[in-house]
Amino acid sequence: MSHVRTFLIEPFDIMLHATEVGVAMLQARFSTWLRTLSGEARFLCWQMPATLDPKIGTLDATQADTDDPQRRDLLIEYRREYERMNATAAYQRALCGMALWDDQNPRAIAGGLASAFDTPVTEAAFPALFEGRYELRDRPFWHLAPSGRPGGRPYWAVLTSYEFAPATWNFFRPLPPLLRLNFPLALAVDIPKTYDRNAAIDAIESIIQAYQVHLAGARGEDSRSVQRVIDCRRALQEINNGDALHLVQIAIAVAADDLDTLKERVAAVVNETRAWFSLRQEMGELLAQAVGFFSAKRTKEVNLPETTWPVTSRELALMLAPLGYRKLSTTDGVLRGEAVGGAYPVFHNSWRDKRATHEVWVGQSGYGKTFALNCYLTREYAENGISFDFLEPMGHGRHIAEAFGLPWYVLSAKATRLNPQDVMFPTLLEQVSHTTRLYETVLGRQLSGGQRENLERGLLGEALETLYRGFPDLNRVSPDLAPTCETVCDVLSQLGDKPAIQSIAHDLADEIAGLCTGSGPWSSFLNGTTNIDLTRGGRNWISPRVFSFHELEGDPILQALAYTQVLSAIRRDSLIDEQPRIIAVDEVYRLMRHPSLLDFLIEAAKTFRTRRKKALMVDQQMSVFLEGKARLIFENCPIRVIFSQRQGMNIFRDDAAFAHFNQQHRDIIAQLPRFHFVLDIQDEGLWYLFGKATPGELARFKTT
Amino acid sequence: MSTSAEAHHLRAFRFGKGMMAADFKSHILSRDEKGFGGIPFKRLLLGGISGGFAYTVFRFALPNVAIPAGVIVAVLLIVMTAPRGGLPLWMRLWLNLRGTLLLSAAGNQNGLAAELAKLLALSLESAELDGHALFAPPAGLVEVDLSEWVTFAHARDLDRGDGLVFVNAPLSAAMLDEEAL
Repeated sequence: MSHVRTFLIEPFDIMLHATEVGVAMLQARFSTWLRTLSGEARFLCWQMPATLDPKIGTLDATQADTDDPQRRDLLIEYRREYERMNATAAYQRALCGMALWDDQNPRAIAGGLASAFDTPVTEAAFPALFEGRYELRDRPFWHLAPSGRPGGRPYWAVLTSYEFAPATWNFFRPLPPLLRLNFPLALAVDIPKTYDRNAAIDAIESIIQAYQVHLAGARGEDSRSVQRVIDCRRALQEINNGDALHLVQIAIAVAADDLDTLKERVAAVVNETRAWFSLRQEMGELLAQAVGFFSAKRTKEVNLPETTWPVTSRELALMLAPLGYRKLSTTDGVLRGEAVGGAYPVFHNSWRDKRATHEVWVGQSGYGKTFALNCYLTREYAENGISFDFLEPMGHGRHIAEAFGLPWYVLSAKATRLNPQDVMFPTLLEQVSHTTRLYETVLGRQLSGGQRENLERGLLGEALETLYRGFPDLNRVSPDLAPTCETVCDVLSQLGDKPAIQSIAHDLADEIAGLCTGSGPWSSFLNGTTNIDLTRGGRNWISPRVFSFHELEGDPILQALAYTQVLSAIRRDSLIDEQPRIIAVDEVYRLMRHPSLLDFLIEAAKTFRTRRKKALMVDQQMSVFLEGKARLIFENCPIRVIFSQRQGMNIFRDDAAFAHFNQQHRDIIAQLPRFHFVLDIQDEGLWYLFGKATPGELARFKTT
Repeated sequence: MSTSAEAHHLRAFRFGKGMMAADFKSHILSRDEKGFGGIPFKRLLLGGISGGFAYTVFRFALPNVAIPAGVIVAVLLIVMTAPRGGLPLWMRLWLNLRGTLLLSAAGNQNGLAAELAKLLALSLESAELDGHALFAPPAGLVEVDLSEWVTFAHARDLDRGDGLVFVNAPLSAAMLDEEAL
């Protein structure tokens, strides 16, 4: 006898498949899996009404703990918004499961289920339909009542199907409306038998034969028999096309706090499904036995009178429709948006892992990326006290800086000076390598790959080492002590023990000096002591900071250098502690197009991750993250937030990283309206969301 | 559910109308030939055979009432096999009776109802359900409580009884005090 294996299945969002082709593919996938069934199986869906009360409770507790008045105000604002959502919506929490009587390895079964349903599946015990002891009662109607002290436990009634009407089923009817009824219920689709193909064909053919005999001798019209023969032939055709024939029955358990409500709810369920299937309210010992449908008990052990219905795999696939209706999940984490379709809020906690989880955000201008980013940073700051650094090139960092009264660092070619020799790395080797990368960006060429370039790299490194070795402790070199570009050029020009080497050193020093000193184009920006405070300054906690680079817009090299130095300073501070922090970099392509800076970014992303600093890379096109080495950044970002991508859709079609996207996903991405996005979290799921904002957020960031 | 959510679902449903779907069929594994007066042929057949049999039996014992007895048995069988909720009437009545008997027996386990329940092999346990036992996870998923086990490095150590045990809080003060004693 086969052992029972129970699995929990994460529901997915059918809105991500809601086209003719998408739903057809879904049905085909489900029915292909169902065709392989050999033993008994049971699909279950438990649904409970849910509220945002746990979230509101968490916000209350945080509000009581925080000393920061700004955070407290924000928390009050969010609490009000969640209270408003609670009052205007009726949320449910849903869980799906599958019990299989199969001797295969459970991991293999879970893998097969996950690939068939394209959603995470884990082997786990089913939740109990009810807790404690319950007793049978027959007045005023048959039901189960809590025995002893009720302790808030509800009454239960169980309904089982006995007849299926000749009606059209799809993924939207009849089960999803049933699951929208806002009361606790559980649904079981019991599959006690799957016929062997030949046995199924024989059984149906014998029925056809019997009807033919009957019709041959019958006088007058017998439309039911004629229809039965047609149905049998259709079933035969479906079985001959690969479907299996299953026996199925549906059981629904309904709960209520009082008997009048229970009666109303039972009537509501019966009415809702009447056009598709008929339900019988179980009584007496059958009621006690029918509860077994919601456990891992075999149908034979449940031992109800046989009222199963034969269906083919393609029909049975539609009974798994509850899998496509994801409801309110956890309230842990911050609000990421509202599900399009289900209209339930989606929360996600990306700090559960000990390390940070990086994110990639892409989307065309004007589709709500910046607005959503501002909202996200505000929520993480308010709810979790997570500070952030926001680097952006357009000047719209002003809004978030103004909203929170934050220091707004505007880097400008005229007023700002960023010394490339500022110490950003703890070891001499790393520091020299970092400064060399900056010079490579200034020079517009790499100091490697050819004999002369290699010599130049060696000489520049030697000059820098000479200068840094002059300090007893590299980590104590403050910006006012760091050597300037002029000094580097002076030292560099004197290096070399052979005339040829001296000449190379001299030429390189001249080249750098021509660009970075005197009247060189970048001298005012690079030559001198850094005049912007990027240091930690002995603080235990660094408040949020906003860096804008829009005044460097005219010079992409300056902009890239500025980005790198600011990021380097953040990186340096990141190494000191493991406090969570978000480093959001808008228009990250400006860094990535410089090969030397791209290396820096890849390395920084790894450092950030281990030190609980979340890097949030924002750009317009996904393609920039997938080319060459930039892919290493993309692969370090398990969370992908995709706004409208009308241009560059080929990436989602051709790249293996998006093999889990179907045509419907791609269509959605291509046509995403403003403030709508797809949230793709690796190994967790895919959500089609609307960037829901609170009235406070709208007021603060409306200009973005 | 909010209005917007309804709208979305309605849109989805309208969207879904033309989609891949399945027209459910009638019961393709059971026969249900047309009978008379809305009663399927198989019930009429059963009623007819039973009535005929009753008539034959009564013809030997009480010939005067054989015809009415045959008719009554035929009608009774047709009525009692009328399905409701997927179950024939006789079964529903029988289940109702068993249920009532079960509750009475559960209420008074020494009474007549309890004796009748015993006679009918009615399990009094089904009058009260234990959620913990009913929804217990399958055997493979039950977590083993290692603290219930004593581990020995060698089988011979069993005689000495100095096996290792798993404790819930190895560093708790109580445990350390106990060790010290």
